[in-house]
Amino acid sequence: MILFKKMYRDIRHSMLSYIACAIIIMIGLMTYTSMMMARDNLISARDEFYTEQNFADGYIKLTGAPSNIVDRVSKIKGISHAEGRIIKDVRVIFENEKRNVSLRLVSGINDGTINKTKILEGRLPLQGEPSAVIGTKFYKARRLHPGSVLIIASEGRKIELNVSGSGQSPEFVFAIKNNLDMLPDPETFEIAYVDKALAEQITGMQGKINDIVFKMDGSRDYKDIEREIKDDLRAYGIENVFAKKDQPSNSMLNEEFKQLEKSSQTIPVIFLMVAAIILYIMLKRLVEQQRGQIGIMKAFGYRYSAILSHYASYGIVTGVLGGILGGIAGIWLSFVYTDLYKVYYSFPNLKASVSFGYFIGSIIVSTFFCIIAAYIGAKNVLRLSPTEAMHPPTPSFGKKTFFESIPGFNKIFTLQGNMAVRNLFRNYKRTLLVLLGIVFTFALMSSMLSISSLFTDILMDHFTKVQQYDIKVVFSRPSDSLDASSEMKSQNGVMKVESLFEMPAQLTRMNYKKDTIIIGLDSSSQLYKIYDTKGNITPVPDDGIMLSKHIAESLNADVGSTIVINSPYANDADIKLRVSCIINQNIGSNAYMSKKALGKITGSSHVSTSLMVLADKNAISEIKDKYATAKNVSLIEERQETIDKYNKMMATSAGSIWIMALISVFTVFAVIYTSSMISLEERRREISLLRLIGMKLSEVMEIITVEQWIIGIIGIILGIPMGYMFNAGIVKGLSSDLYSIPTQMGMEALFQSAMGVALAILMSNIWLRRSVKKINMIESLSAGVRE
Amino acid sequence: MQPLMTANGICKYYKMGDVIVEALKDVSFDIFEGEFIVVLGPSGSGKSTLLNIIGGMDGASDGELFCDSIILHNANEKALTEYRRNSVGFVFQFYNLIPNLTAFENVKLSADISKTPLDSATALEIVELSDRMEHFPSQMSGGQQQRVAIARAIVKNPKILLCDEPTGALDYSTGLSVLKILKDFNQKFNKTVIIITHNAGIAEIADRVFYIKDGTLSKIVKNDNPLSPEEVSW
Repeated sequence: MILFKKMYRDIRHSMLSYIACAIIIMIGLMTYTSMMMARDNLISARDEFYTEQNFADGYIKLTGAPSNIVDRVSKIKGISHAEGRIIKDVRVIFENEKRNVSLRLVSGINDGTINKTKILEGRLPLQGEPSAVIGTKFYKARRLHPGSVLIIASEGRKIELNVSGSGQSPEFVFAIKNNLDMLPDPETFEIAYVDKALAEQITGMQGKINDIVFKMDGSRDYKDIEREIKDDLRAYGIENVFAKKDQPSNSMLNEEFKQLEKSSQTIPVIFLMVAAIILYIMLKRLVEQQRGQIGIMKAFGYRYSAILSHYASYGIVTGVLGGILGGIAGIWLSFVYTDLYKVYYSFPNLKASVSFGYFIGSIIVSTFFCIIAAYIGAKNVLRLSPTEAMHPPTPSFGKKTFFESIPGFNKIFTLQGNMAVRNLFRNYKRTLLVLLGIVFTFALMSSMLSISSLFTDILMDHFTKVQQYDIKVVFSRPSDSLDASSEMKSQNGVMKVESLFEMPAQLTRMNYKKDTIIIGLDSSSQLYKIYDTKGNITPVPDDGIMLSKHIAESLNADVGSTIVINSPYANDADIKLRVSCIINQNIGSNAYMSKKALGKITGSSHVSTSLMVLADKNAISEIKDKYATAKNVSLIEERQETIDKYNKMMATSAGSIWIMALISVFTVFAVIYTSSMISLEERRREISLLRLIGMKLSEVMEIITVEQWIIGIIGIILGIPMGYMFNAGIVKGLSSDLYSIPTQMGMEALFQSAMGVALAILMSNIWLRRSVKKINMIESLSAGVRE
Repeated sequence: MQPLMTANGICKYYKMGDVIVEALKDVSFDIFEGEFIVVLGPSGSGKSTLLNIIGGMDGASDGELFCDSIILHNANEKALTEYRRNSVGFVFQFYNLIPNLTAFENVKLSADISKTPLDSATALEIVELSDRMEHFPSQMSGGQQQRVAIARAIVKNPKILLCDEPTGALDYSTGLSVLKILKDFNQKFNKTVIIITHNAGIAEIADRVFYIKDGTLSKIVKNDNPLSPEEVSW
């Protein structure tokens, strides 16, 4: 009990340092528990929803096939049940709406048993009724209700679509229009679940389907089933066959789980490590300071274990406090995270729930970290015999540092500066630990800021340097580009028109396979620029195929490799092409060919799937209005609209990045402040003397601040390669078909992180200045300890 | 002759809980340029408190204190810093050298902030330590360390050299050599030296001796024939 009181008073004496340590533990554990709880909430919502709604095991995308093809699929060994659907994007016309708004029609609301839609409000459409159940996010964003009427445009007609209610399918939990949309935008895109007959009527696909979903009975491997489907349905124009794991919404969800797991395993470890460093430094100093007391306790007959437990109790108190705070803050943050996920993921049953396992786990983990730090910090002094412990330690042997033997080194600093350099070496272990704390925190801060800024850069580069057109008019089916181009060119304000052919294909090289879109461009395209890996503009050659770096890596291909292509639009199967160039593509991941070369495969070089248009501002809205209801136009993409959408998205994520950066600044502050306070305590006598001989407060502070700046600058320098390593790790994890971020550190991020460290040092200086001012010269100097 | 330092009715009170301790009571004196003064008194008599006040480390609770034209009794922290910086040099019983600076650097540290410093090497020459300039405190004996401390104090070319038990931690012969250096400095440079000690033997080398007892300056004894350090023993 007495020792407990002693511990309490000791902690109270250095309250700020222990609190800083507990807060850093709290930050680390808060990150861990909140991410893990949010992940668990998502997993539980997903599993329940997928099971209830019978989530499909496989998907077949077709260009268009008779409805009875489903029977053939159902008979394939390993498939227990298959259902055919019509899926098509249609534009929604709202008055005074400048943005492109579209709904994805998905048939089968009444009779489908796979990927069933859960009705959340209203009712199912009745047979023959021109009604749809609308995806819940769009329904809420557009303030719809049962009985609302939407005007949609399809096949050149305006059609009234009644809203019978809102609902959600497991297939569109993360509803994005295409891969370029990184986040759902509920005001401009959602799903409309309709009856098969209505879908046929709207799309003009009577007796046809373009999508099949199937369930497997578990008797056969998916890969074998996929192979048989491709062989069997080749004649029907298969665009793509993929398993549940590659289903876009599900795959985005899995990516999120991966990110959450990775972040929850790395970020908390860094913070816990920094907290352990602080605690180690503090306890080591405390034990050294209480050497005499330890000697007395030993002389009284206290056992080694009892004294060790006493000093471990400092770690336990800090660890438990940090763990409890981290657990509580983590629970709170998990609610925030779960609410945030509700914005993007439409799980009707997603709710925040508390896991006491993580709460208890946090306390155990933090206490363990702190006990280890306390033990390592205390063990050496505790091993001394009572007489040794009661003796003051051997005076530290002053000596010149290695650097001072370098001619001219001494001239870099003033005498105070040289004192600072020697102080760093006097307790080099502590210096190294403080340095480690700064290096890791700087690396974390710079890598996060770098990825955020690089992400913005690559997005802006894509929309300014790669896509140089203002509008992309997407056809509902491949069309003759000559007619379409000449019609578009005749519009007022149109400056340039080029056509584009986007062909779904499977690329194969040896055992490597990759499903992608091959983009066919004019060799001399001015509106879509391609850059090689060195950043030079490279034209599309008239033979061979260009691969994005990501695809090349997936296929283990290089320039000169032979790739086998299969596509529903190709006249032949297994077409062999040589890789002519590996290109740098940060947004999306595609293969590129010249339209001429693509024409040899498809049989016509005049077929295109969209037009790229460069037009003046006034012409853009006129073109959008004119083609809004055109029969053969499924979508009009406006570059500025997409840029605005990305900017909005980046602004949302920038907030959380900056919060993390501020937390990092606080962590650097805590490390520097704690070590400087300890150094100040150790050198109280020295500082008093300097004040006594007439040094001003600012001159004394110079010695302390030079130390901090030296260690801060070295920390920043060493933090750069460490940040690069963190960055490379995160980028590798983030790299997907959607985007590849270059593994480089943004200069701006490095500068901002360095400023963060500088801010932490300045803050620490302000606190230290107050402590130095409070030092009582007379008391410090009359303590007759011989140096 | 104008005094270098004048004290009129200096008092110092400390509040310890509910009790007020009077460390100095109505202390008055004049000190002249070039004097060698010994302040003598037993432990707890208030001599260190007096040194703290004379040295500008602490303020008086009451009374007036002037040094040259500087008013010390109501000086703020900034003015006291300036006073310590330019007017006084300190020598302590336990040397208080900066452990990670060499002898030369310890002296230069002090010279760097002074307005009219002596040359650092010269200061070390005065204390006969020219051959130990690059030594760190831990590589020197106690006497050598004390001599560095004296060099550090005199390098500022102060008006007053304040020494708190300068021989207290040294053996007789080493203590003697330290006293010789202090006396030489006093005579060669005509500087005021004030030594605070409880060692009555040392008092014989002083021009005047201030006797402190229970916080009061009980008497001031003028020594018409001060002895040289070699002539005293303790």
